[in-house]
Amino acid sequence: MGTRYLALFDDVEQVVEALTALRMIGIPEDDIAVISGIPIASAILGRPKVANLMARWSLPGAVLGLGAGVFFTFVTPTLYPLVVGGQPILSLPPSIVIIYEFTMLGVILATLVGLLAQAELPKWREIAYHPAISHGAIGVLFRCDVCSPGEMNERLRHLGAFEIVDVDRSES
Amino acid sequence: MSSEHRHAEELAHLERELRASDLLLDRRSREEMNYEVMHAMERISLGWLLTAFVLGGLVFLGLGVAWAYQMKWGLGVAGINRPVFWGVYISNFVFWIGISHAGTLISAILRSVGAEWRRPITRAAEAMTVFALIVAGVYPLLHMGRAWRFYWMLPMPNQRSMWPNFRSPLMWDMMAIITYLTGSIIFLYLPLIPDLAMARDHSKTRFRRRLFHVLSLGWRGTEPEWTHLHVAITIFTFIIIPVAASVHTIVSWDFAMSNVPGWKSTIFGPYFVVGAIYSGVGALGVVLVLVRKFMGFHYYLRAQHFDNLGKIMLTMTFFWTYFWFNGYLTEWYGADTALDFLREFITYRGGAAPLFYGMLVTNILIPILLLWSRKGRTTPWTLALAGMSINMGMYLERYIIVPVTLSRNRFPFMWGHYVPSPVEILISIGSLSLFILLYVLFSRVVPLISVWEIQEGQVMHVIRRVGKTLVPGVIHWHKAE
Repeated sequence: MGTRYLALFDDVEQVVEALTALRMIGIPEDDIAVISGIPIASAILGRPKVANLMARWSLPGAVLGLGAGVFFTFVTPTLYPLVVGGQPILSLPPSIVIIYEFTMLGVILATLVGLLAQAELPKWREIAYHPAISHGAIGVLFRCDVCSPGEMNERLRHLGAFEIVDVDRSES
Repeated sequence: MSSEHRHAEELAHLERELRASDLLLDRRSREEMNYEVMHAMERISLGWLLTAFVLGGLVFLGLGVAWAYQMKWGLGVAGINRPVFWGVYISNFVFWIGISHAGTLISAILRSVGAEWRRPITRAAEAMTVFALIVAGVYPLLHMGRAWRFYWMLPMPNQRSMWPNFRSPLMWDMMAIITYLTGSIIFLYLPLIPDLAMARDHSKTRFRRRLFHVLSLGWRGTEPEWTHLHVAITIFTFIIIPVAASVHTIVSWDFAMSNVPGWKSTIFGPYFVVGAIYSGVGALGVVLVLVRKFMGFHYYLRAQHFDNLGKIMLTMTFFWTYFWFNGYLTEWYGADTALDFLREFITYRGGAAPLFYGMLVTNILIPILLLWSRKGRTTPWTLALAGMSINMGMYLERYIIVPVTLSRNRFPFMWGHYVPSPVEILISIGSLSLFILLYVLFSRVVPLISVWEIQEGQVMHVIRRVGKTLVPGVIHWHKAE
């Protein structure tokens, strides 16, 4: 377990340079995270692309919703058959509406669950953050086992960091 | 003065003009925008308190006292009676469902086509959708009379193990509204999360900081968070459009599935959807003008936004006119006797003629006159006036479709006359007040402007010199591969 640092920059170009410097001193990509107030594409930062698995949540949601719709329209009428006006108990055209709505509801709920699961939210106790980020700063969070704080501080400030926070120390 | 110097001055002037014309070119620091939006959100003035108090009083009077009175004495206190069993409660229900389409059109459709100017207005539109749906959802309960039996409509068996009839359009309505409301709340919430985190970081009071801490889900803005949020918003964008279309189509089927003259029409589905979007955009115009005025968002809501919104309103005017005339002409040509009676009553011999011509004037004539010129569209109060006119017209249209149409049927001995009772009028005022109150409260609880989306847009939009002049351009950050 190394120390976690959060370096704050004003500009995306400075961040790209800082990331290059961190890679050069041997910090693996997995130990680095970029935190920003607006989305920045991975390609701009030269970072590995985040895998997008949302469809794996939305599609099963659609299937579950469709199943629920089929259950309500084709199974529940047979549980207590009640003929109204001589009309059939089961009928496809009016069932399509309910099946459609339940399918959509399934996608909606599953997408929300998928977002929370994929983005690992909620995360109320995480403290590796700085309020300046929502004011437009870009944070580079990294873990370093071998860094000397003084040297790290000097190098990142040289690259444009306006503040460097020792996250674990501020946590304690 | 040398020609080079003069050219440089011209370019500087052009740059100023470009920045003034487009919010996304007129860059400000995120800190400054955060401060402005937070300040507007946290400012509780005497005027605001008074407005909230008056609206709260009207809600209490309408949805508290009048509704309680109706519950005690039954639906007889409403003006509905044979043959008009659907009165203003159903007209209001259709009207509010229509207003709820603003969020879908402005936010979802404009997001899906990448219309960049939408950025400062999406949240106001999405909030409208949620509040309008909440108000609309009250009306079926009111119309039921015994509102406490509403659970009979939920998809679960009763004590006799009987399930609701899912083949009934009323059940379709219930499920469509539940789906749309759920989707709209989440669609409002997702793009709000980064701004709630901003509010958490910069709120002045401890209570607000804790509230936003919980609501923002501990959002920090890491790469996985942004990536998945972006994908989720995209999925919702494409899901909410067909859901919204289905909701108002299903509302129209409440009428069109019957055999009532004037209701049984195959064009009702798309006609209702177009009408819903039309009234939603009109209402959004009014809301944006008020938000700009009372929250001081002059920097964010500019002539370009009103101009574009005005163009959409004008386009929808023509769409609505086309659909309305389509339905009118086919019924007129059909020469159905019952429809002839109804048309006579509505258009010239009956008491409903002022409503009919009022609808045409407010829905077609006034919007076209106000919005045909750029000056009309870019003047906030003209746009608001057009929006109000459209909503007045759309309300008249719903009123004509519901109680007026029911008052004339195939049996002249069963014709009737409907006048809304004081209870119905009070409840209608209460529900309108509830909508405004929810908006007024919302404006002080969450940022009404999507700051992160504006900053994202400003980062992407640049002014570049090409040859002898300056040209605005877009760098699509999110498309970088």
